[in-house]
Amino acid sequence: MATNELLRTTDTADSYRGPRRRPWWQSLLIHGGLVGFGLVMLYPLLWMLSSSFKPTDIIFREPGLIPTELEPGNYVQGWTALLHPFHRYIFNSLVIVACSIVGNLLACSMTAYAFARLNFRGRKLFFAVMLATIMLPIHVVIVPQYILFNELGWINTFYPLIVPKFLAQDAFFIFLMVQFIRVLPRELDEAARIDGCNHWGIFWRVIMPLSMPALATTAIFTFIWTWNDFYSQLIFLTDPDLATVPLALRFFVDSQGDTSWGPLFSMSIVALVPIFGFFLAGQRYLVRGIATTGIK
Amino acid sequence: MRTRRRTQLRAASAAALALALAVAAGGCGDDGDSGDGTIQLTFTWWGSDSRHAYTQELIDMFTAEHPNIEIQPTFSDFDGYWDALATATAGGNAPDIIQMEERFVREYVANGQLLDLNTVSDVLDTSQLDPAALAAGEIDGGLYTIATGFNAFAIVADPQIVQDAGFEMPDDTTWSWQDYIDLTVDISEAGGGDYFGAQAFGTNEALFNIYARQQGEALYNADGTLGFTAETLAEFWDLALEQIERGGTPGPEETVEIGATGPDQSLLATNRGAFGTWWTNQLGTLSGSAGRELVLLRQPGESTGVQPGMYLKPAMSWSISANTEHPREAAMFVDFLLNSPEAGEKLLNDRGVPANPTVRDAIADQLPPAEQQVADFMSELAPTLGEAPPPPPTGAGEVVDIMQRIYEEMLFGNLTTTEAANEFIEQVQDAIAT
Repeated sequence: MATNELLRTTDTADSYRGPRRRPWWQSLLIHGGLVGFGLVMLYPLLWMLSSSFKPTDIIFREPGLIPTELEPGNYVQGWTALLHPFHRYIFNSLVIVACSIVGNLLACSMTAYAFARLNFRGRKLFFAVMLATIMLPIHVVIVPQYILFNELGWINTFYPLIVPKFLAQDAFFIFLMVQFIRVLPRELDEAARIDGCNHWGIFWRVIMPLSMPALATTAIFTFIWTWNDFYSQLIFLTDPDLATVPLALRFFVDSQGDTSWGPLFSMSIVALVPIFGFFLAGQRYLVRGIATTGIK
Repeated sequence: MRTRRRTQLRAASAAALALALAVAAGGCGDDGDSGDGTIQLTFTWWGSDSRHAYTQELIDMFTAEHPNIEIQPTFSDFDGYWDALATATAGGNAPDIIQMEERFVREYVANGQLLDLNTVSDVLDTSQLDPAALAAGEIDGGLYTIATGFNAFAIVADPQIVQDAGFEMPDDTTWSWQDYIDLTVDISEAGGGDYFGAQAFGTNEALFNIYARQQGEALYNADGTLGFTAETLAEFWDLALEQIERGGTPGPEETVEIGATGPDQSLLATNRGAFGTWWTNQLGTLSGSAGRELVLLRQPGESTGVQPGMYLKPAMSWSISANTEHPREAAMFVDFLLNSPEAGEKLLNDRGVPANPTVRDAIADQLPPAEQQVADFMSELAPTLGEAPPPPPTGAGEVVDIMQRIYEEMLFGNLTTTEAANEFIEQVQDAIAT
C-alpha cells in the first residue's frame, strides 16, 4: 500500500511537466470553460443570494440576477420574524449536530472495528442486517420510533435525534468505516499486539489514527445530513422553542402562497454558512491519503 | 500527544455517561397536567410566519382570560403538517386542538381520532354559525369539525391586461365556458407573447367539482362515492385542452412548469396573464406579487348550466382529538376562535372569511383592500350558491396528485380526454376505497 502511494507520488512529480508544456491559449480555453461551467452550477445559489436582497413582491416579477431594488431588511426581518430570533434555531441545530457527530464518531467506529477485525458468531448475519437497515426508508420506521420515544417521554426533547447516534444507528457510516478498516494492514494490529495492546489499545492507538480520512468523512457528512435533516426533526420536535434551522425555514413557507420569500432566502443563506465553513475546514482531511497519515 | 489523547478519551466517556444519566432522567413521562392544577392543551396548525405570530397572540389572549389553562403551540408548513400529525396520532400523542382540512376529516373520523363536537355543545356554541360551516363536519350523525371560515374557487382577473389588449371586462354573471376560452385566445393574440389570456385550468379538482355541479352532477356523493360520469370529465378536459391548443394559455411545457409553482410565481402575479383560477384567499398574495389591483369574478358557466356550481369551501376547520383529557377546555378555546369578535380581529380573513356573521361584520372595516374585496365578493355570491358539497371521502387527499398526473399525460398527447377520464375514475376509486 505504502509503496503504491510512493510510486504514485513520483508519477505526479513527472506529470507536473505536462500542463506547463500546454500552450497558453489552450489552458485559457480550458480554464475559461471550467469557470463558465462552475458559474452555471452556481447559478441557483447566486440567484438565491441576489433574491435574498430583493423585496419579496418583486422576486418572481423580476427574476434577473441583478436586483433593481436593494432590500437588506430581509435579513433583519428573517432574523426576527419568527417566535424566537434566528440564532436560537441555529443554536438548537448546532447542539444536535455536535452531539450527533460525537455519537457517530464514537459508536460507528467501534461497531466498524468489531465488524472488520473481530471474529464472533453471527458476524455475517449482523452485517447483512445492518446493511438492510440502510435500505429501510424513514417512513417505515418513523411510527414505531415515535411510539417508542413517546413511551420514553422523549418527544419534544433532543434525545430521539441524538441518542440513536450513540448507539451506532447510522449504518452507512459503519459500512464506510468497515470498508476502510478492512484494507488497513493487519500487520499493524499484530505489531501492536506484540507490544502489549489489547483490542481497545489496537482500536484507539492504531486503527483510529489511521482512519482519520474515514472519520473526517463521517464527521462532515454527519454535519451536513443532520443540519439538513428535516423529517425526523419535524416529527420529534413539535415545541417551537426547540425548532431547528430546517424547521424554522419552513415556518416561512405557506403552501397557499403567502410565503415570505425574501426572509426565507436570506435565512437560507445564513443557514448555508455553517455547512460551507465546516466543509471548507474539513475538506483537506477528506482528500488526505491513508499512507501519509500512517507514516506520520 | 499521548496525554492529549487520554484527556479526549476521558472527555468522551464522561459525555457518554452524562448522556446515559440524562436518558434515565428523561425516562419519566411528563404528560398530563403539572402539579398546580393548570390544564395543559396542545394546539397544532399549519401556515407561515405571519399566521404563526398572530395565532400565538390568540393563545395569549385566551390564556389571559383563563389563567388555569396553558396552551402549547405546534406548527409547520402544510406538507410537513400531515406527516407530523399522522405520526403523532399513530403514536397516541395527538394534539388536543387540531387545524383540519376537509379532505382529511373522514380519514381521522374513520379511525376514531376526532371528538364528536356535539358532546361539548354546552361550551362550544354553533348556533350563530353559517350552516355551511357545519356541513363539512357532519359525518354519520356526529359533528367532527367546524369550518374556520370560507373560500370560494373563483376567477382572478387583471383588468389592466384586459384593457391593454383592447377588451372590456366580461360580465361574469352570464359568461359561458366558451366565452371564457374565446376571450383568453383573443387576449393572447393581442399580447403577442408578452402576456397570455390565462393560466391553464384542468388540474384542480375543485374546479371540476364546480363544472360537474353546473351539469347537475358532483365530484363526490354524500355517501362518499363518485358523483360524475366520464363524459362530463372528458368534456371538462376538452375545454381545458382547447384553451391551450388555441393559444389562450402558454404551451404545454410552460403550463406544467407554471402549474408546479405557487400563486406568487403564477402568470397573474408576474403580470403575464389576464385570468387564472384561484381560491379567494389567494387574492391578497396574487395582487401583492402583481403590484396592482386584481379582481374576483365568478366562474364561467354559472348561469348557462343546469344550476350554479360554485360553493363555499371551508378554508380549514377546527377539530378536537378524541383522546384529549380536557374536551371541555379544548372546546372553550375553539368557541373563542369561532365566536369571539376579539379573536376575529386577529384572524381577519386569514383562515377564510369568518363563519360567524357577527364576527364577519365586526371586522369588515379592518380588512386590507384585497381582503375587503374578497369579503364583498363572498357575500354577493352566497345567496346564489347551490348546496354545500358533502365532506370528501377518505383518501380524497390523493386526488390532487392523481389529477395532476393524468392531466399531464393527456396534455402531452399520451391519452385522449376520454381515456384520461376513465383512467381518473379508476384511480380515484382505488384511492378512496382504501
